[in-house]
Amino acid sequence: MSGAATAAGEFIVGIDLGTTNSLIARFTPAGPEVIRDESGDPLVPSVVTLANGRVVVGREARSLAVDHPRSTVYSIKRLMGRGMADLSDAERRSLPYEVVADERQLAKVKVGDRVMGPEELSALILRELKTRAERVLARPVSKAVITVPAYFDDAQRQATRVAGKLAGLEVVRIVNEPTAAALAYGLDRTKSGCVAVYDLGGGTFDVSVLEIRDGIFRVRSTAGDTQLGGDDFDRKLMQRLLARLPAGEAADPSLLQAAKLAAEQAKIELSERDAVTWAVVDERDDRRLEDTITRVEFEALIAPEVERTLQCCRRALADADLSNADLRAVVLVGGSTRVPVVRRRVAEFFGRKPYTGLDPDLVVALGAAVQADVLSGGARDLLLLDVIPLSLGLETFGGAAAKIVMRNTPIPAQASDTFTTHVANQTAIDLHVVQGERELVKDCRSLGRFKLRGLPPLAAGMVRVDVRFLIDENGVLTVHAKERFTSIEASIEVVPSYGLTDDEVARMVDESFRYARQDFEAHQRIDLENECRTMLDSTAKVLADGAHGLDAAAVAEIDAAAAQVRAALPAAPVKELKAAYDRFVAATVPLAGVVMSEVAQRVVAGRTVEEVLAAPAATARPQEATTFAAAATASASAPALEGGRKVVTIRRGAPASGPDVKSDAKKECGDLGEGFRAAPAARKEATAMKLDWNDAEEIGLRLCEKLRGVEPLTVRFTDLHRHVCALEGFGGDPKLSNEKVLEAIQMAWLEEYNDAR
Amino acid sequence: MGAVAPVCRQCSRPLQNPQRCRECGSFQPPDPHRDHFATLALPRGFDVDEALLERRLVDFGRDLHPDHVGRVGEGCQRAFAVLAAAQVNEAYGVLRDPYRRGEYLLRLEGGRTATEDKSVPAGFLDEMLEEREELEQALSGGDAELARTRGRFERKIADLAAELARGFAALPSDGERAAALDRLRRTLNVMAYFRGLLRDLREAAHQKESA
Repeated sequence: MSGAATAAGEFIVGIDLGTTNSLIARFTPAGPEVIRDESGDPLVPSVVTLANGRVVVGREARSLAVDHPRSTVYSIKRLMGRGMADLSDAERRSLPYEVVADERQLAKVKVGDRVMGPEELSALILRELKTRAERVLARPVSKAVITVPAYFDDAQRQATRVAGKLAGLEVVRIVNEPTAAALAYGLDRTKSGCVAVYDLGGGTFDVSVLEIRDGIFRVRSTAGDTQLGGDDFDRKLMQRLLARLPAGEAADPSLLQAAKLAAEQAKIELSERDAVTWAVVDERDDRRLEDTITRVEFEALIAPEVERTLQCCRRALADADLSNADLRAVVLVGGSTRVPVVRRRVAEFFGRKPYTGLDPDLVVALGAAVQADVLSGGARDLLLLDVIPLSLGLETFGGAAAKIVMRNTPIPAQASDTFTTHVANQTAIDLHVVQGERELVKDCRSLGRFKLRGLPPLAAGMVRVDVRFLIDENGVLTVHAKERFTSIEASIEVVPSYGLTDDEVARMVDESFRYARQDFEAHQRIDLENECRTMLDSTAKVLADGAHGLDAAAVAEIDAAAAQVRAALPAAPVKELKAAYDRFVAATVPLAGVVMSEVAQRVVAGRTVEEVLAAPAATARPQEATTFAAAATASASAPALEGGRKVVTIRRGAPASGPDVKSDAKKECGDLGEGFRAAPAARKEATAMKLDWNDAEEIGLRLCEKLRGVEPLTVRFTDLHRHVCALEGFGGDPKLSNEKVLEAIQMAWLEEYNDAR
Repeated sequence: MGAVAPVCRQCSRPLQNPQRCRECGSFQPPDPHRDHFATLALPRGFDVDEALLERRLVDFGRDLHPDHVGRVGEGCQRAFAVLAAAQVNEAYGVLRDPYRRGEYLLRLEGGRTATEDKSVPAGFLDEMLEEREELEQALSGGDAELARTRGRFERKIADLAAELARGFAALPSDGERAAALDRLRRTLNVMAYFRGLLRDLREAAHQKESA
């Protein structure tokens, strides 16, 4: 086909946004590949902690869960696109974080004092994945294929799209997880035939039956349960343990978090061992809750859940019009398929040993990368024919749902039906679009409503309205209605009622920026507080040795400034704290001078100038230190700074060593205070030399001047990286930047930006 | 059906796929009167070459699927692709299934379909009750009995399909045509009944298997 114009070189990643873990993958000439972090870890736990104003995602967040039970969120995928009414009480009770309803009765999460939507929290996970990929691949990532459970309804898919948007990703396609797994499985052309993909993840279950032949992946049927997964196994174990609490005593959030983590671990161990003893300690009273469970008991405990998955398998086979004998293989996907009883029951059900040649944790992300390759114009001979998971229809008289497009219809799809009026002289007809298999509208999910007005006033049943459903390759539905005689018509693109109008999405994007600013300011405050404490500490230590020859007035000035900082520390606004801190730093300048010269004297005592110049950098570089704290670090007698606490940023006023270094170390050190006060002038001088990644403040200033009016927080790191590299006089290696460096630059820029306003 | 092979509106070369020219890549203007047979470039009739039908789905799917048309700067192309691919999928769904295919042919003839008129041949009501009884017996019997009954239902459905094929192939063109279509509609209703029995039997067998 010659007319198929595809933008070559479009870079699209594949993302598996899981209940428990998330992954990001890309397509390489050698095939799909999961992007691992620096330590080789492919998984990002889908856990978010918002503690002390900082957003932490992944492994670190997991480790914070017990200490911050109310601000650590896991399994957020379970809340995607769901209303409060969809959640069972048991489900809500088992979550240590608080689920609240918004004005439209949609489920939101209260994290600390902030209420966040599941899509916002998912966006934080997606952003983490995006940042990882950008860091590892050293290229911007802006487009993604994201997988969802096949059985996700329209609202859940829409929520996933919004999450992508909030994370700065264009979601070019939503792909069903089992379909993605099949893409990875069938990539080598030897595996043709019908396969069943059994996908039991942390929170969702799907089964899809596909036919794979000559690069064509045809989904024959799919079934599932979006509220069934390994989480439920953990919950069963938790309940057993918490039943040991005295009657009437409830678990507090911290205990719930601890129990959840321990239950997960116990479950994993039960895959290897015949019995496990596990325990958590209730921190309220140091009481130990302990449980011993055998594998047999555990299997009995989760048997109902496993049975529910098999019922879905039964339906999927019937819908595909196939029997077990027609299948070539059963492919296992999802971490929960590691549970032995799951494997055993699946093997019994399908009458064959399941195929386990693919890592169940990675396969979905790999498949997403395969589809990303197709969409970027790569694999042109691979064709994916997917289906809609749930029937779509219209409400008819009396609240019944008339199905127009049946579940498991291949997409793109179209279908039409004819409706009529129920009342004489009815001139308008209300079209209510619903999704689901249930017969009554109240049991289906409402996707949207629209009205066809101006019908001819005829007797009931005489009007003929043809309604046509068109579903595109993303599963987005457009409904078109036309009255046959008058030809009046109306149509809508159905954005689910849950769903978010463009305005609402825009508002959420705005909010995410605003929160980014809040997070950022909170982050800034923490760093500033740490700096203040370090300074106060080290000053006190130095002054404890005596006045170091300073006059009483200078010492009194330091004391007064220190008192102001201490007073501002607990609650004063960042600006005030910063001002107090700056005054304090200024007051300590004379002391810094004296201390530095003492240090320098110790260093140079009995040595020649050449020896001093050749000395290792770590000994002392007086000219690098511009603040008291830095001087104190250099001082051999500064134990206060041990333990890795952060020291005030050090600006290099001049090259580390060079012809300017005077033999008179004492004089050099005496100039230190001057150097500090003259900082603004030093900035101008610095333009003559090459800037490096560490020169955050200078870079921030330059960016602020160059990109006047651009709000620093709206600039993505990839763009920031580009802007910095493009700066005149920048000499840093583009490959040597990292998140920390870029963050420091962004902070410095923000500071300049705020000052400039 | 007209035997004239359609040609591309853009480059005038013959079209293998009526919705998009393989030579120049142009999408053809949508034609509301194109029936499902024409959409898949198959001759109209109850007898459908199943292997050819499958090949058409795949070949035309490759021509038309929006994934392969590209995503950037081709809003109009993509819209055509979605519509055209949806038409192919709909046509395939109808033509693959003997019952829906028969219904569709009845509709093309302009008469009532079996869904609209559920009348069955005289005497079939008794047979229905007997068959239902046999199904119940098979369900309480062993695997062999289930398989035997299942085989019988499947053969019956195949026989009915053959009968429909003969009927549609020999439709009289005179005043007898309406009566012939009536007979075919009744045959379709019998087929629908046996399909229902077969579905029930399969579901029950699945239940039994997993119990």
